[in-house]
Parts: sequence; C-alpha cells; structure tokens
Amino acid sequence: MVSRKGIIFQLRRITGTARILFKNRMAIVGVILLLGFVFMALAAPLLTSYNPYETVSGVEAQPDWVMNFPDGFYLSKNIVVVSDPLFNSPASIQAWTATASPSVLSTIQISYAKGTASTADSAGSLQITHTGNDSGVIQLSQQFQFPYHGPPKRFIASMSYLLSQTQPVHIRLFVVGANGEVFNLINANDTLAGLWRPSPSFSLDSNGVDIASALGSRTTGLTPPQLVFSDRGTYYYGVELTFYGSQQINIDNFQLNTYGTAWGLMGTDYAGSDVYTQVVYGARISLLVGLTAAAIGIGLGLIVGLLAGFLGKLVDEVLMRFTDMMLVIPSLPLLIVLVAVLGARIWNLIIIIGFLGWMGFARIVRSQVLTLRERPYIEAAKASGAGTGRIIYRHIFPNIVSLTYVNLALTVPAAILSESALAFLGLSDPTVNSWGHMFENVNISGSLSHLPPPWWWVLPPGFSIALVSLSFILIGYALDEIFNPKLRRRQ
Amino acid sequence: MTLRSFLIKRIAYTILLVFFVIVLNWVIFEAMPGVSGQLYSVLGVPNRLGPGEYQKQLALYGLDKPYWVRFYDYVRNMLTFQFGYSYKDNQAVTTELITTGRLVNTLVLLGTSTVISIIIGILLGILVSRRRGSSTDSFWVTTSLTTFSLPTFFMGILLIFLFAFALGWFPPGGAYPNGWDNAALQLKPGFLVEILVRAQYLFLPALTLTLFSYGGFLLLTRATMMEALSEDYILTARAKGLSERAILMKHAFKNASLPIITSSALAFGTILSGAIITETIFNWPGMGKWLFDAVQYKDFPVMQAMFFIIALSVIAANFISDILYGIVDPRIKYE
Repeated sequence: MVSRKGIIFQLRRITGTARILFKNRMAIVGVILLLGFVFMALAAPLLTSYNPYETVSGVEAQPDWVMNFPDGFYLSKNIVVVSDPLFNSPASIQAWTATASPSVLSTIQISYAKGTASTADSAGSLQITHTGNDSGVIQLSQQFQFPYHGPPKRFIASMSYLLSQTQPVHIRLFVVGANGEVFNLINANDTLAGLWRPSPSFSLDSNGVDIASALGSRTTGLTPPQLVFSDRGTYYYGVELTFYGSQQINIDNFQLNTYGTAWGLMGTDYAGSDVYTQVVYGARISLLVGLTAAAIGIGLGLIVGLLAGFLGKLVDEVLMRFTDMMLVIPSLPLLIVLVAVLGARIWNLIIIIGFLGWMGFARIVRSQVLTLRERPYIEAAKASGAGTGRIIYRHIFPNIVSLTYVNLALTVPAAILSESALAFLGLSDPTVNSWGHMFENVNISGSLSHLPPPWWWVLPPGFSIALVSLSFILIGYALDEIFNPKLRRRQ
Repeated sequence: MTLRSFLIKRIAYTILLVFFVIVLNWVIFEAMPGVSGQLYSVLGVPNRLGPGEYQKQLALYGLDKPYWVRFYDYVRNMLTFQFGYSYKDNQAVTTELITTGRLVNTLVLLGTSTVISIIIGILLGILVSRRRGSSTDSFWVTTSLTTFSLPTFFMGILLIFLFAFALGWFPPGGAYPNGWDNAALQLKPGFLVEILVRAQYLFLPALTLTLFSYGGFLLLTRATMMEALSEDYILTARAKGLSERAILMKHAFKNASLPIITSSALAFGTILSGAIITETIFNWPGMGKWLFDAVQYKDFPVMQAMFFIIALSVIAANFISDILYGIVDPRIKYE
C-alpha cells in the first residue's frame, strides 16, 4: 500500500521535476500550448455557440476580417431581414409597412392573431381581414439595406399563409432590388382554405430549382443571389395580396436570410459550417485519441518490456523477436488495412493505434530492466525472499517511471498524427469531427482548385495538429533532458 | 561472428519476417470478421440464393475448403504474387500494378525523396553537431522538429497553395499531363521534353516527402555525432593536431554512421507511410494512391497486395541495411 510518506515523496518528486521543467524555455512553451488546447477541448461549448456541422453561412465563406483588406472588397456578411419572422410578439407587425389600393383602404384590417400559428414554436401570426366584395391589393413590405459590394452566396426566403375561405387570392412574394427591379419568388393564385401553405418547414432556397425557375435565372448565366443582389442599396422584401372578395389571411414564418461570403473568425467549409467551431471541437478528438492511444501503447510496452527484461530466456527471446518484427512492419499501411477491415469507429481507432504503438517503448523498458536487475539491491531483495511481483513493483518499476513520462509525451504526437492521417484518408468516424476529417473534406470536396483556394479552412486545423504535436514533443524533450543526465547541459 | 555467419543469420531472420508478414496479412484479411464476414453476409442468406447456388458461390471464393487448405493456398499465392482480381475493375492485381506504371511511379517518388533527404539530413546533421548550442544548431533543430510534426497532408496542401496556385510554377497533381496515357491522341512530346515535364510533376510530391523525412535523419545524425564527438578518441585526434575535417569525417562520422544505417531502414518504413499520404494529395498514380482508392472501394485483394508489397519492400530495405552494417562495422568484418 502507498503510505502517506510515499505520497509526500511522490509529490515532492513531481513538484521538483516541474520546477526543473519550468527552467527550460522550450518546456514552458510546450506546457502553455498544451494548456491552451486542453482548455479548448474542455470549454468547447463555451467558446462557440454552433455545432460543427451546422450550416451557418454560405459555402466556403472567407473569414470576415478579410473584408478589411482589398481582397475582401466584394465579400458580404449574413443578413437576417426580418427580426421576428414567427410573429411571437404583437409588436412584430409594426415592422411591416402596409400599402393598399384606395378601393379597399377602408375595408381592410391588419391585426395580430395570437395562437393562430404555423408551427408549435410560433406564438402568433399576422392577420389580414378583408370584408366586402370589392377587389383590391395590399402590399406588406420591409425595407432593408444591402451594404455590400458583392452578392451573397445564397439566400433563403420563407412565408406561410393560411386562407380562411375558399375565395381566390393572388399571392406574390417579392424582393425589390436597389435599382427598382422586381423579383417574384412566389406568384400564384390560391383558393385552398384551412391549410398553411407552403408547409412551414418549406423554404425557398436560392440553391433550389424553385427560385431558379421563378426568377428565370437559368438563361442569364447568373446565380439567383447574383441576379437579385446585383448592387448595394435599399431593398424591399414583402408580399402582395390581391383580394377578389371577403377573405381572411394569416401570414407566418415570414423571413429572408442571406448567407454571405464572409463569416466569423475562420470562415466556413464546403458545407457552410463554421471552421472555428470544427477546430475547437476537433481538439477534443485529438487529445482523446492521442492520450488514450498513447496510454494503451505505453502500458503494453511497459508490460512487454518488464516481462521480457525480467523473465529473460525464452520469454525474452520470443517477445523481442515479435517486437522487432512489429517494428519492421510499416505502421501506416498496417493501420490503414486494420481500420479498413475492422471499421472506423472512434474507439476502434484508439485501440488499433494504441496496440500498434508499444514496440519502441517495450525495447527501451527491456534494456533498462536488464541493467537494473543486476543491481545489488535487487540481489538483496531476492535474498530476503521477495517475489517477482514485489521486485518488479517496488524496485524496478519506480526506476522506470521517469522513462514512462518521457515516452508518453513522445508517443502522444505519434498517435495524434496517426489519427489525423487516417482521417485524412477517409478512415475516420463520420459522426466525430476531427482535424484530420476536415482535411479529408478539403481533399474530397475538390475545393483546393477553387478560387481563392480555401486557406482559411486548411490553415487552422493544420496548425492545430502541428502545435498540439509540437507541445508534446517539446515537453517530452525537456523531460528527457531532466531524467537523462547524459543530455543535461553543463552549467 | 564472421561476416558469413552474420549474413546467414540475417537471411534466416528475413525469411522469418516475410513469413510473419504473410501470416499477419492472412490474419487481417481472412481470419478477422471484417472481410469474410461481409462476404458471408452477402452469401449467407439462403433465401436470396438457392442452396445449390450458395454452394457454388462458396466454391468460387474458395470458402468451402477447410481452413488449413485455404491457408496453404493463400501462402502459395502470396509467394508467387498471385493476389487475385481487383474488385473494382476485375483485373489481376499484379498485372495492373505493372502495366499501369504504379510500381515505377512509386519507386521514382520514393527513391528521389529518400536519397535527397538522406543526403540533406546527414550533411546538415554533421554541420549542426559541430556547432552545438549555436544559433545555427537551434535553428535547424527547430526547423526539423517543425517539419517533422507538421502532418504530411498539411505540408502537401500548403505547397500546392504556394507553388501550384499562387505562383503557378508546378502542376497541383498527377504524374503527367492529361491525355499522355492515351496513345491515340499522340500528345506525348519528345523524350527530353517528356523527362522535363515529368520532373516538373514530380517536384512537389518529392519536395513534400523530402521535407517530411529529412528532419529525422538530421536529428539522428546530430545525436549520434554529438555522442561520438564527446568520446575520448576525438580528444586524442584533436591533440594530434588533425584537421577539423578529418576529425569530423574520419573519426566521428565513421563511428556515428552505424546507428544511422540501421535506423535508415526503419525510417524507410516511415517514408513509405508518408508516401501513401503524399500520393493521395498529389493524385500521384502510385501504390499508395492505389491503397487509398482500394480503401474507398473496399477492394480487399488490392489492399492485401499493397500491404504485402509495402511490407516486403521495408523488409528488403532492412536486409540491405543489415548487409551494409555488416560491411561497414569492422567488428563483424574482421574477426
């Protein structure tokens, strides 16, 4: 059992080691880097409010700080035109400007309908009541500024309406451009009452066919966002309703979003997801894989090395021959075929990487044990009747602990690099977001050949992998220098 | 130990290694549940295939024979390089390996970058070991540690950004321009131009692989040289008034070269791993890219063959380094 004295001794030993460690400049850099990444991994949900695969902006949007440079002149940010699209508060209808034709001005009423809503999370809707048999037109619109020199990557418009009577109504959903051109997104008659149409989950996406055919953008050679947002200036978004008799219409889920070409700190990837979020969450996977796989490898190496070194003879011969053979087999091809055959779930990866990372350490432990077991104090322990287990645990193991620290620090980067290399080759858990997986996406999406090439998407995960590995290597070398007197510089 | 008994021992060990790889390859692809499990899950639904058809399919894949017969057949196939047919394009793997030039492509890429990185690594290592603690020393140690810990795919992509897209000096991928492999188009230029164009295509992948591997050689040379330079016989040589060059090359490096030779063979395995990734980034039609494609298509015969050949080449590199070691080390040569 570990006594109190033993714990105090170990503590003193660790603090002593730490004190020497912090005299080394490289080690300080390594520890600071590592703490940064550990913080990133633990505090990921606090550091970002998105999830790694959520679409937050246009595809391959550049970081928004690029807009301060000449290259970013044509970039645009996201715009949310309607502040309360679900009409959750009565005040929300004030945002809409209504203009009606004179004939119906007196017979039309706009009000807030609490409880009449298209979806469960909406509290109410905008209600337009028209009484009398005259026909007339009413327009509801909101003015917004599009202050950017370039078009957005994509826009999404939505509106749901509910007719109360089977009386025909003409519905026109429109955007009026800065130069006065009118773009109709919906332009149709409807008579179907008692049903929210289009379905509230449906939205008009500029990437979809509906908008392209509504705008006739196919023939112009421009994408819908380029066609609509061709200039900076004042835009209008709204709906025009033409009544032919008495009718009541509720409008809900009324929104226009533009997805820009500039977003956040690190831009977005090929699916419009936030790169910064992916980098932050990727730290979890890298550290998890690196630390657990390295711990498995070091544990196995320790066991094999101790057994081979201490038991000697046939056991030693067999184990070391096996170790040598495993050392010769190139590791990445072996990892690739193993993961390809066994499947790329995250724990599979960790176990496979761990089980292929013990050979070097086993040899180091064995050679250390071979010199240790000839020491007089081992002889003394043997003579006083100590068993093999006790000798290994009490006399040999404490002398190897320092080796374990050093090799753990140097095995972690190898495991991290293995994981990212496998992920880059497409052998990663698709449900898990890792830095290597980001590179796989870069590679398979073909974005490298786009202009500009997505440097904002490549550099952050690349430097993250490099810096995490570097931090462990720096700490490992510093520890090595502490524990290995031969390497210590002469003062 | 004489050179002869040393060689016999190494040959025996190499044969053992080859056998080990064959068994390992069998365990991974035949004995583990992944591959044959998938096969059985397709074949093993009796309602889908009639009972007679089921037996026929089993016989087709050789699954009706007992384990030991299958193992024997398998070993024979491996030793005669009969890897079966690719699931993807139904070609014999060995034939395809040679006719599509994959073998040559990989050898060219690997050979170029290994030789260059060994030369650069050793020369810089010697240079740096002489000036231990100087700013040159810390610069090269930091640089090689950085290139060492930068993932290969990251370095490759950075080089593509810089040299292929920003500067436009080198093509971003492939081993030759489109259409060269189509004889009907007659796009191939004269021999000299062909060599130059191919060199242009080779440059970026070879640079990536060199940057990936020189750091290991540099750090290793530096460490062994520093150890050799701290020995007493160097002091003696200095006392004798030998030139610094003679001390470095004749006394220190000759002794430091033994560990470099042994670990060069192990480093070759690492470089091969880097080559798989480099070939994937640069779309270099070699064996590594083939292994990558095979993984995407679950093309198990190709994966098995590629793993076997890659492992064999590392074993061969080890064997060569063993022989070199035997020749260089006087303790083995003269007894």
